Amino acid sequence: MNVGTFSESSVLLEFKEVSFSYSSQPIISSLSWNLKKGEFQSFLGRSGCGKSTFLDIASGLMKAQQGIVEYNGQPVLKPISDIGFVFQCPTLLDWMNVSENILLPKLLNHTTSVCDRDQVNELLVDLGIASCERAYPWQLSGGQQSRVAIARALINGPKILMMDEPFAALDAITREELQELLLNICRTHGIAVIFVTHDVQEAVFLSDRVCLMSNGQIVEYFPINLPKIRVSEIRYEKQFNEQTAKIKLALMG
Amino acid sequence: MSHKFDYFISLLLGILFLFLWEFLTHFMQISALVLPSPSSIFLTLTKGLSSGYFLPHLLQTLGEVLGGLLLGSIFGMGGGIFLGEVISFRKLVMPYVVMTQIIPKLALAPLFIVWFGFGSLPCVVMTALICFFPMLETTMTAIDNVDVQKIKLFKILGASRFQTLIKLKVACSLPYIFSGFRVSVVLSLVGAVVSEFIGASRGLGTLIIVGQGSMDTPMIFASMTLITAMGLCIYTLTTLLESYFLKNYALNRRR
Repeated sequence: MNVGTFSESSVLLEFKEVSFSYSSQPIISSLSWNLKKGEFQSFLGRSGCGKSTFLDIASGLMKAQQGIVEYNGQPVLKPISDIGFVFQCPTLLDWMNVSENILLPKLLNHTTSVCDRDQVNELLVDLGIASCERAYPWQLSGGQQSRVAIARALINGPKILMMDEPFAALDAITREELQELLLNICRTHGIAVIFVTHDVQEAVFLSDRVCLMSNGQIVEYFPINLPKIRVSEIRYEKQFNEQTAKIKLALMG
Repeated sequence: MSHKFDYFISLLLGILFLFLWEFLTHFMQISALVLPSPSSIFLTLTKGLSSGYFLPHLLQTLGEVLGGLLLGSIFGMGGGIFLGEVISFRKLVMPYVVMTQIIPKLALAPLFIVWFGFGSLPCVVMTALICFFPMLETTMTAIDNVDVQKIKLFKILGASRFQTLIKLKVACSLPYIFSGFRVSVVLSLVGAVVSEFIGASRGLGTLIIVGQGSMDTPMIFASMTLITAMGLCIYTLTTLLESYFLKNYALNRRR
């Protein structure tokens, strides 16, 4: 097993021997893992291997039945406020326009201020949807909806972004555009990411480390040795393809 | 343009139907007691309206319909929200709610007269009872079927249970609540008129019974026309309200 070598001091989120089961069926088994500041980790595995439950426990939505989950050294007992979550479906609210959807986290916490408008505008520009500010979700394409969902996850300045197959329903070109956009934003703001996907190429392109899950455990870690700044062309390089092939083989094995 | 054309064709069909009816009643010499011609119904209607004979009856039925609709819808929606949210309580009371709805409402009318006396109160209660169930059922089902991922999103965003209920579940359910309300609008007319048949001294339902007793079939048809017109007005008002409240909803836009 190849475990990443990051310094202990920068650990943001940590699982210590965490287990979780549904009606005596183990979903997560004695899992130990950690995420460092600004690190991008992807989770790969077949359906039903426990990836989504892992995300639910990591976000604080569900409690570990055994073991400890710590965020910044403190046990996680409720949903962590410093995270942004992006689902497979954009989960935008139909009756709110793009700006209102992005501001939803602040509206719910009654923390809206005059600066929020500037922040929303900044995010709209960063995500390339400035022209959609007043549009409603049903007027947007799938790619634009995903961008709004990412903007909403970023509005509170999260330390961690948790993403559950966010680009699975998009076409290949839009997906690649969004992958690069996401990488740029996370690198610029130093946001750590937990990214669940079924797409090996996507995992390799985005991640610092890929975790392979099976039967509720992380069975193998793959550090990705690619340049920090990643452009689309990297997908055609030998090193990228070798890493992808290696992970694919492990996934099938 | 095509919408206008559709309306025009629809109107033309209606006029054609009336002409056919008028022609057949004269041609086949059908007695006015069995089937009065549209012209004789129209005459009774205009005479009754101009003399003010219909007005108190119309207002009485309108009051009962609106009162019953309002009461039934408020309780139905409130109950639906509560039972949709508190599932453990729903399991306890739902069999009894269904039982009360299975009882034929008409069978309850004599009982309501005993409890509430003659007049408009038993009619309002009956109408409310009929409007209650569609609102309860649609609201409860809609609240219960809100996208799980959206609920998860609200949890992650630290929303309270009340915030999730009002700002997500009720907001998401609004199109379905309106569809339940439209069903209630239609049923409210049935409720008010049928309850007037049994124990009222005023109202369009009472006029129908009076018309039946005095063999004044044009009066029955004139009363039915007024009920239909009233129903259409309330239904149209409801769709206008719906368009206003749901103007930003995707469901409404796709129609």
